[in-house]
Amino acid sequence: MIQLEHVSKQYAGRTAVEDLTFTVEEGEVVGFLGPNGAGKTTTMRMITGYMPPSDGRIRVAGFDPIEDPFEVKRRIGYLPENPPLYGDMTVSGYLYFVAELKRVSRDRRRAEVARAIERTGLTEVSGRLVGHLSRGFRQRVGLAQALIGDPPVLIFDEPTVGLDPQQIVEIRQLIKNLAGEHTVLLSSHILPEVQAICQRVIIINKGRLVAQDRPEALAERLHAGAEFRLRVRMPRGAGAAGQATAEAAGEATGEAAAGVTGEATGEATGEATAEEAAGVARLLRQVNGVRDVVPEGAAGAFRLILDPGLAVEQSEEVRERVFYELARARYPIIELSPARVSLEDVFVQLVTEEQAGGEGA
Amino acid sequence: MSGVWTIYRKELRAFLVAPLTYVLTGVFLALGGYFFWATVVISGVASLAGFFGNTTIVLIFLIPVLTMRLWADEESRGTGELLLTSPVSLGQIVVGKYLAAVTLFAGMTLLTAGYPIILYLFGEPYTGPVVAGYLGFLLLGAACVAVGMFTSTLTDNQVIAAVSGFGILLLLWLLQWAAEALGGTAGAILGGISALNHFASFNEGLIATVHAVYYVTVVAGFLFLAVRNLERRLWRSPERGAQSTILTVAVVGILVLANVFAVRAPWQLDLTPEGRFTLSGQTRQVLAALRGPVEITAFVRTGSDSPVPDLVQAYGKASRQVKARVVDPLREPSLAQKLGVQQYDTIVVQQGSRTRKIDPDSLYTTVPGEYKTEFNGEQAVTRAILELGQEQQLKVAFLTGHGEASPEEGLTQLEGDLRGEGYDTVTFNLAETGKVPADTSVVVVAGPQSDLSPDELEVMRKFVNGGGRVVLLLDPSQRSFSGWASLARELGVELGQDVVVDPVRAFIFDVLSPLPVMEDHPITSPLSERRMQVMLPRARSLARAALPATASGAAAAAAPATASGTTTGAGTASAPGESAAAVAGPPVVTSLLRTSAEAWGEPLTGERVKIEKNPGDPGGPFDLAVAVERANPAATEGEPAPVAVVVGNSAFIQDDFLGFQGNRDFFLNAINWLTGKKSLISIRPKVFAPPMITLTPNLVWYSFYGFVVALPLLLLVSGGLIWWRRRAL
Repeated sequence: MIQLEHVSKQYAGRTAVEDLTFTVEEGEVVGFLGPNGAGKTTTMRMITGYMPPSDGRIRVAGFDPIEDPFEVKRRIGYLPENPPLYGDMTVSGYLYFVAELKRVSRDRRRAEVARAIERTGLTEVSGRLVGHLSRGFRQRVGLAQALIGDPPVLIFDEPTVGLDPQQIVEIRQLIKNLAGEHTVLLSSHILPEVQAICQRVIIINKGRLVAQDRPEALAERLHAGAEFRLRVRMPRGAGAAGQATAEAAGEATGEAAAGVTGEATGEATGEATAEEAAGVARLLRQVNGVRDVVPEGAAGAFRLILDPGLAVEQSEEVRERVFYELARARYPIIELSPARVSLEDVFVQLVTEEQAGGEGA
Repeated sequence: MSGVWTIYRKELRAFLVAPLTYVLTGVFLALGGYFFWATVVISGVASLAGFFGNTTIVLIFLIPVLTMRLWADEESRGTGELLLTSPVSLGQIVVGKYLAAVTLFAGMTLLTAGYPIILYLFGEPYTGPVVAGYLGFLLLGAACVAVGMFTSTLTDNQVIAAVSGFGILLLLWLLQWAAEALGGTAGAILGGISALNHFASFNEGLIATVHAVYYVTVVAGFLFLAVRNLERRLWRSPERGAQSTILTVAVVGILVLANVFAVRAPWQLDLTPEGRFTLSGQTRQVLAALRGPVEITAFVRTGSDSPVPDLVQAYGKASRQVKARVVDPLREPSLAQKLGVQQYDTIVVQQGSRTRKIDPDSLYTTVPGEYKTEFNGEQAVTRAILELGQEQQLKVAFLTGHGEASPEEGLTQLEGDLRGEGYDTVTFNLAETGKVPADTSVVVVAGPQSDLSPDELEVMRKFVNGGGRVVLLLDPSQRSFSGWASLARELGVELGQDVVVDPVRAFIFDVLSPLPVMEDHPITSPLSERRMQVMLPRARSLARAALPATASGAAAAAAPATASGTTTGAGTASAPGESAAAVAGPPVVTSLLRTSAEAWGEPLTGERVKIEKNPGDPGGPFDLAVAVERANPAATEGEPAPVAVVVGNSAFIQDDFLGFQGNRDFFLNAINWLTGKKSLISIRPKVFAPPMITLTPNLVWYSFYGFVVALPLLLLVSGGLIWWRRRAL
């Protein structure tokens, strides 16, 4: 239903979104997750046709938001970050205006407004001025606005921000109920929220796609442990300890590919080096706290995967043990650094923010 | 379209519930009401021009405040995101919002309907200017709203939107000053851009496409800019840049072309009561038949409300052959000097090397006893154009040598008028030349102070008997001039040796200056139609000669013949002398100007006498001016040909008196009648009569409290009520 292909957006010299590619299938509820400033709002605005991408292609129900803006806009219900409300209108008057704006046919407008009011629980305030409503009600009016006309695609930018816990629960339930009939893309910087509502999560950070998967798979992967890039001096001198086999090396590579990134690894430079690398890997796997070690392309390069759920001190201890083990085997460490921005880092941020937000609320 | 309608209704609703709308409308009505009251009620002129003229300035301040929220508010509230992600285009949004604001402005304007109602109830306003004024006011407001719509898209800050809107509008206004200071082509272009200029003609009562197209251009241009600006701010992206540049160029091109077309093919509806901007059918015929380019230059003081510029521009618009220019002589003194222009409102018409100058004196006539002025500009200009196109000019020769007034002395203004009528003027002295200049159409003898010598008399006799025409203007004199008397007698006229005293029909300040009764004649009837008087300061009476004089030897009899009202023409004697060969019939004398029956002739004896009717004085009515015709020998049907006009006074055409009411026209009509030109063309003068309104003192105050206090308060109160009711929602 929603497709993004290599979408980028530059703003005033800054790159907000870079090379973003993902798809949302019909009927899916997808969470769009990322810390503040990750490019979530920009991406959603591009999908709704509010702003054009600098590069790449967007398709909503097969239409380009820039080429066929009307076709896209009539299929999308959009709740921006700040609900677009006119304070000087009554709730029902406002929703009626939105119905007109969304080209709901004249005879269906009243019913459409009534349905949206009922679904978002606005009945008691329907005659009041939007400007006189509390934050929670306003958010709900914004939501009701997006539901007007029953559009197949719903895009919610931080739908629960600023609501109290009770309201959050209600809104989440409402969005869950929309699944199936509607394709929903909702953004959040709160992991548990996305976990609670969505069938799939797309994570972006600094404008780039970090990961996309089912929430459970992501959680699993989160607990898959931290990753480090390791380089050792290879080959070491005569009298190698390891008795590497090509078979073991192949096994390890397969595991890594399935487990983490799917990137092709282990382009052996030579049979002897590959054997030696496999030996080092085997050696390290025996270290307590190391889950897996995968040789990488260049000679002496490995991906070091620690056991999941380690605390920071524990992780440091494991790395210490790795150091001594390699030293003992006379493979001096040239580099030991955290692998590129990891899913975990993003998650840590997200979880922390949730806590901070929760405390603040 | 439905998008526009949706936005329009939402926006209009937003205006109607906003207290600011009511405050602005209240302020607008208070100021408008005051301007109306001050210009109409106080001055007593039933016209809305003063109200419109002043209130337009208010719009500069008011409309940007009205329009500031149009987009800036959407942006600051974030509601723009809703609009822009809904199936409506930017264009629909902008147009919908614009139309809502224009509707509101129209509503505000509608609330001024009380002003014209007062005018129609208590006065007699001209409907044309009221209608045109309202139309122009609405167009001007629509243009201001478009500017405000544009500045509202510049920012999410309403104050900045309002202030920049005010800035742009003020600039559009003040361009007029720059235009005036600059002059020339640059000035004309700036003046064309200035919003003020275009409204002025609506306010005078002219609906012209040029001006309407200007406002439509401003509206279209600024709405286009608003859309472009939103696009640019929201969607700046390089590949759309080139496209939008092309589009911008195209739109600007279309707007410029529309204006050029409107200038080239002007259409206008003249609703002014006097048809100020409309040329008569006769003029348009003359212009259509033009065979070469004509240049018309008007010398007008900048900022005067003279009708001359409009007139001259009307000629320029009516024909491509005409190049019309309006010049301030202070700005271009060299041109004024070159063309000999010394007064404001002088019009110079040029074709090739030939020039006609029309003095302001001949443009205006004040209708006595009534508060209105006639403007004869069109007749004067069209005549000048006609005469320039004529192959040959008729020559008017002024006799000199006997102390006569001449173009050089005493008749300078008259000379200008004659040239304006298409005559060439020369002077001649019979003692020097011995004959009348060749090709002379009319000889004018303007108040000789000494007698005609017998030789000269002979020349003159030959001239008049040979088909020449003469205007004899002979002031009362103590001396009797036998030469002049016999020349007059030759024309069937006997000169009275007196000065006429008319106690009934005389200039109010001077009993010796008769304002004679006009007899029905082509020379006088145009004057009597316009109720214009001729004043003859000191006039002698004229009588019909019993017989045409035959020779120079016939000395004038001093005694004036009694003039009877319906004098039989001169006798039946055949014309004598060899010079009379061309003359078939005896002179037929017709009265032009007559005194009342109460007039008498005070004999001029040289001694001071008391002015009173003595038993011996001849009694009136007397002729003071006569026209003389003779049966034309050449014409088989025997239609009489004009020969002479004789007036017992010459001072009336001298510079001091020429301007008096009908004096100039009387003389020019006489010349035209003599030359058979009559008038080349006669166009009804345009009459300015300000529409009047009379209000009782009570009404004056009621209208003040009604328009300046009550109506604005009503608006404020209703705004307050709406706020109060919605407060609880």
